[in-house]
Amino acid sequence: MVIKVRIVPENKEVEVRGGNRRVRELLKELGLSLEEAVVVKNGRVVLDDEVVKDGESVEVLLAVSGG
Amino acid sequence: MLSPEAKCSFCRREAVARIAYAKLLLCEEHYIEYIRNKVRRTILRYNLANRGDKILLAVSGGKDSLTLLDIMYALSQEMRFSVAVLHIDLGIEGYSEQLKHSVESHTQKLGVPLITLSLRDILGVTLPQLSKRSRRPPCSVCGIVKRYLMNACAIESGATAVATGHTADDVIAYAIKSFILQDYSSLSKLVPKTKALQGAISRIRPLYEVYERETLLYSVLKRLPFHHGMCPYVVRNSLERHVKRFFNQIEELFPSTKISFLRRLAKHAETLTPVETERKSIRTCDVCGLIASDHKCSFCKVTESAVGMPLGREVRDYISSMVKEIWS
Ligand SMILES: [Zn+2]
Ligand SMILES: [Zn+2]
Repeated sequence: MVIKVRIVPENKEVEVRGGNRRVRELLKELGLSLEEAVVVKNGRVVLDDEVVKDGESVEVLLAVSGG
Repeated sequence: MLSPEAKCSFCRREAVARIAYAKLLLCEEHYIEYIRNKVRRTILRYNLANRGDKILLAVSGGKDSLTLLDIMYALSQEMRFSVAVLHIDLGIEGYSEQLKHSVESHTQKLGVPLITLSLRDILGVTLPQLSKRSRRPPCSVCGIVKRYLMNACAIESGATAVATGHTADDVIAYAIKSFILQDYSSLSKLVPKTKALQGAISRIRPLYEVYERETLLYSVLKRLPFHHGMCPYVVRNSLERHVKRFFNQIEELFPSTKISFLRRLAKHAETLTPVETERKSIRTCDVCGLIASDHKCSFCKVTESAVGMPLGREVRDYISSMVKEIWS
């Protein structure tokens, strides 16, 4: 199984393997700092130490949108 | 240590935000209050607005400016100043329409007066056309046009200040960029409030200490109809963008670095101006009478090279006919 990540506003879909992990670890793997993203799971904002389980989907909203 | 339900530091409800620099966990309601308080404190600390002021809010429709609108509207009721919104429609296909819709939807909901200036209406050309015809990069033309229209609209409407949605991250990125380029006169302008000069209105930055991640979270939690898209002309590999990412890593490692940086910048920035050389070169445009660094302002120069004549004067008259009684 995988964790499905949709990155907004880039509209990029990424699949992360390797089981459950905390939001902060997930962001690190995507090369993002906690300061540059808000993570939403099932329409709810989640904290950095919450766990995303294998098989779940999250949205990563980027704060640094350039311009 | 699993913490499936972290609690709000104030009310023990479920937390949705961690404010690392203040060592707080906040629920939705207390987060929104926290950010609003932060803006209120910035306004008081730097004397950005007073009772009776008329503040023109420059709102693009992105997360930062919609947060600015939402909070300044709330504070205007409490602190007894007036607000109106200026939206500039740049005519960028597949981008500007959505932004305009976001702004219209939220101003309508709050009942705030809205002035929309469309480049197509006032100049007969869109931003991409203006850029092509004047042979200048779109981002540079965009900056010139926006600054000019904000200033002109504020002056013609009798506003006391223009407020922009620049966040802590924007200001820090410009500051570090200016430092990298050793451009101290740009650095000196990065204050929460610039003074009014002949032909230029005072500009204020109420989100000076609010982080970009904080405006995003505020917009998400308050369900603001912000457009979370990127301008098709945005330069992905810009120095500002790299600086922002770098500083976010610093802030994660050393929480509150951004705020300390900004407090000191606000204090020292104005003393960095090489007073004699810089101040003397500020004058007014021969065509339109607004602030310029030369005999013509940048807006009059750009329009002249794009459509054959400087349009500052005409644009000011057009705006003047549109903004009558917006503060009533
Ligand atoms: Zn609470
Ligand atoms: Zn001019």
